[in-house]
Amino acid sequence: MGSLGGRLRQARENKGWSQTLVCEKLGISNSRLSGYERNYREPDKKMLSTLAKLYGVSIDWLMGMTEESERGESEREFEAFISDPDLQRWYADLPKSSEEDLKKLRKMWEIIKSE
Amino acid sequence: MYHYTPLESYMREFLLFLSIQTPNQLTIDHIMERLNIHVHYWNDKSEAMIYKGKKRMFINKQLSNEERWQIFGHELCHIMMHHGSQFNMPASFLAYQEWKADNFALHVCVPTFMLLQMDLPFRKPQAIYEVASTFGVTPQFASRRLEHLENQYIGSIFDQKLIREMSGISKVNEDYGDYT
Repeated sequence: MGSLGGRLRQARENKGWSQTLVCEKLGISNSRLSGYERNYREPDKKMLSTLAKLYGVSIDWLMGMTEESERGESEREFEAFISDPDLQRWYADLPKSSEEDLKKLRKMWEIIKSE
Repeated sequence: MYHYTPLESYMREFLLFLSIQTPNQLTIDHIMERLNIHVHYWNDKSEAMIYKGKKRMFINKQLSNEERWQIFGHELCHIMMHHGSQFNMPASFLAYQEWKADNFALHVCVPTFMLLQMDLPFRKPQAIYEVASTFGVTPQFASRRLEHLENQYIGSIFDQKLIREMSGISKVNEDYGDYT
């Protein structure tokens, strides 16, 4: 259950929602959501934070980085930062995975917040 | 006789606008201050970011001063000229942006108008060394930069000759020398 897909499924079931219901809420296709839950597709950062918000869990928990699924104030701020449509980034070298990129974003957020 | 490319002319205007006229004014500190860019040195990979209208660069600490300066030039192009987030960008467009930024870096770190004021040594290895030490870039970078300069020179000489040939003037006047 430690995988992203597994945790997405778990969070959905904890809410007692069907895949169909969630798809209707988000306006996405069934195959897309089931792809996420089977680790067949990887949600982008925007989708990840939308799902986290919907299920009321933290992104770190979804990514399997912590066992703590509570969403705190700082978590919500961080999500607003990474899903901001006006955020522009250019990499000197591309991240190998979404996970690596999220870790980097977290560090940046710490720097930006501390200003 | 040297023909400036549009990028070279832009660079001259741009740097003069920032009141930068000599190689020793070409530094990260100098430019970030004038353009109001926040630069953070850290242990992670380098990148540039615009968030809430604020321009930022995160530059890897482990890089040498020369590499930092070259990365800065590259990322400056993105911040000034480009739009978007590269994470979901089509690969070909990303490659195009990167190519543009590399080219921009060559010209902002070693501007043509400053190169032309130098008395470059006639032999290439010495010229490369001279450019690298004057502008604080790596020898590889200096060598690529000089190739650009040469191509542009050869191109304008070719142009001139062609024009003369076409207009039926066979006597070619050699009024454009080498680097010196």
